[in-house]
Amino acid sequence: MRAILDDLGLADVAIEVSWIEDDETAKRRRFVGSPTFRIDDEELIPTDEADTYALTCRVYRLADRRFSPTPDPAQLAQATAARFGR
Amino acid sequence: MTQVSLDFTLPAAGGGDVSLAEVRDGRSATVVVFTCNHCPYALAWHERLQQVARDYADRGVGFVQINPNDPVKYPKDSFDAMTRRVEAGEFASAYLWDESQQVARNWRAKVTPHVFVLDSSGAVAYQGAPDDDYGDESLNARWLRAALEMCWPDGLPPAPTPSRAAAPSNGRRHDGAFGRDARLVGMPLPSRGAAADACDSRRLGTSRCCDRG
Repeated sequence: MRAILDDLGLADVAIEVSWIEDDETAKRRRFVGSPTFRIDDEELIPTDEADTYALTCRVYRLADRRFSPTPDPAQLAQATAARFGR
Repeated sequence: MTQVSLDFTLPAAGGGDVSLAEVRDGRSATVVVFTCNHCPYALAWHERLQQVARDYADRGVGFVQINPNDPVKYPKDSFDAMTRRVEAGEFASAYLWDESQQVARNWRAKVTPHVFVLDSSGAVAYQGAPDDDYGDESLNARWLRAALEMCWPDGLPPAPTPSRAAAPSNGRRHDGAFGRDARLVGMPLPSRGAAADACDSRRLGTSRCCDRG
């Protein structure tokens, strides 16, 4: 994420890491799984309607439709750029 | 040292019960995979594992997959959800529900997927990940395939195998362990060497499949 922001000329944008350590916090933070990326608390990668708030891993789909525990880097970069109007 | 039986009889998605004895019956080797519906690592390795089940089905290898997760905590791991996947043709073997999680505890399954290979005598020939990188489909579950090739007594597989099936070794993301020090009944499994890194604190036995903590 840092590299993406830097590449977009957003080196001054801070990254905050939040540890979700129990189900109660997961529900309160509307957390569907780790890792989750948000800008101003809005999801960068849309969640699935079937997702529930829980202390769990998050399933992403890469551009080629493979399952992955992390988002497609290009999709993450594109979503970040769009959020900042770049 | 507490000794536990590794045998089980569990309900299968799609109907009926399946026991380990049935899966092992007359087989040269048996693969038991602890997996689930919601884990990204399990999903990433899923098709590779199904291909192993298909490739070895006519070579005397039994194959069974078990979901030990708590559906209250993880609704995607419910028995209904398992059944839907089976009915959609996503599984090349029986897919069983370990509702009490006792089987996973007995086997000391730590992660999903956690693969075990038993030889014809019931000794654990391998436990660990299917291969060394969930993200690289070309690895083709090579650790699991290599373990299966070692299960024939004369050391010669009954059919040609892909050349990329290499001996397991320590990997960048996962580790596997060979060993014949654990018998099917009466001996605990080795406590180290299981797939360890991707979701290293997923505690199947405590319903915390993907938790870190």
